Amino acid sequence: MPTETHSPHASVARRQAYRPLRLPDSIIVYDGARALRGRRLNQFALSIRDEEHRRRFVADETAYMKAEGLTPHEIDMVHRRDWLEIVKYGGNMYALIKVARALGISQARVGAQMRGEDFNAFMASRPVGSTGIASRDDLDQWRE
Amino acid sequence: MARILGGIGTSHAPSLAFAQDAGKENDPEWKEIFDAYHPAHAWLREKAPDTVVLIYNDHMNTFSDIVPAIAISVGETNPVIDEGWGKRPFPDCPNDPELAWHMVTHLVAHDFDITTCMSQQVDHGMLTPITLLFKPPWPVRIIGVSINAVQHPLPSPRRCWDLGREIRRAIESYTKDTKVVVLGTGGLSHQTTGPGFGHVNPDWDENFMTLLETEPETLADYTQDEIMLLGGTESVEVVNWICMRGALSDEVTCVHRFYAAPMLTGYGLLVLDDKMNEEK
Repeated sequence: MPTETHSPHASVARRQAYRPLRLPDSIIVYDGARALRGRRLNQFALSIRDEEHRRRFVADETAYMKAEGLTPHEIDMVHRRDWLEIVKYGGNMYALIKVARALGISQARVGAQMRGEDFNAFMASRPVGSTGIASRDDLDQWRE
Repeated sequence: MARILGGIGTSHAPSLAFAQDAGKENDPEWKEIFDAYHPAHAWLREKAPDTVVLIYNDHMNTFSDIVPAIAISVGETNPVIDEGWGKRPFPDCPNDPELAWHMVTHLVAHDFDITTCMSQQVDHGMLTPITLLFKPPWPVRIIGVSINAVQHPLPSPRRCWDLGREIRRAIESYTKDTKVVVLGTGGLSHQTTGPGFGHVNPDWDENFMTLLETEPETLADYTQDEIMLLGGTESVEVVNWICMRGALSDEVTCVHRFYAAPMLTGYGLLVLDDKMNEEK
């Protein structure tokens, strides 16, 4: 049998030995507020997993999104392909990538745009090298 | 009696599936990565598991309006689905419902409130690893254990480690002779959302794999926020690896380890032999 090292209290103590983190703006957390606000957008995005729905969406984006109950603001964000605004609003990238692919836009292009970076410049940044940040002990710059 | 023979940690990135389906395994940019799976194939051939417990996270394909913290597939089969870019040409994955229900019964009796799922759809979290490791017709039955790694709040690494510990006890209390391998899939570092898109951290990924092998419970004390800063927002799915490691004994041997991060994702592969259950 595995040795019994389980101790929730010891675990909490070990976590609390580190100062709390302040997450930077580069991290957008898909939380309850975003899930609530983004529900229509995400359900629309998930609906085009169906091939016939994809075809109808691509043939007439506005008609399809209206029929799915999206608001004019939500439809407008999709029209402008403003992925960063969409994920801040509550769209989830796992759902949205289905929309991007249906429109022939690759994940790397979506990503470069969210970074506010030229696509070729972004591609030139690959592969990523050493960061020097290898564990929770290296996160001081983000701690309070 | 059922026994856990070992565990495998592997990325489940769709990019690997795209390359595989396009027949690019021997292209220069992919060959090293696909070749890295050969030792895992040999190990699986030698171990010949009957059932794989595949710990993964769904990506809003089965769970979107309803999001369980932990769900286990308990039906006859796990259906392969179209995620939105065409269904991959693979057969549905047979489940092991008898062991799955045994696991659920054991876990609920030990205070893990499990969502049971009769039709847990196979998205890339399950299918990429399956097609990297096996060829159809599938030689194993597959029990999917889905941990919410999408909609916050997420189960903590500690909770996932404990889940793995209890999965081990569940399997060891199953009386039917069954050889089990546990898979933990996802990661390693990657970020697909927001201005930090493309965050990859090879230093953390390598350290993560070392800690997972040698000091796994250290990882249970990390927070999801720390993991997001180290590995990117979507790298929180490494809890699947932590859960897998929790299901192994303290005594493991690393049979094979590989890492590459050519583009957007740290592709990790770790094959751990469980020394407690070596064939006598």
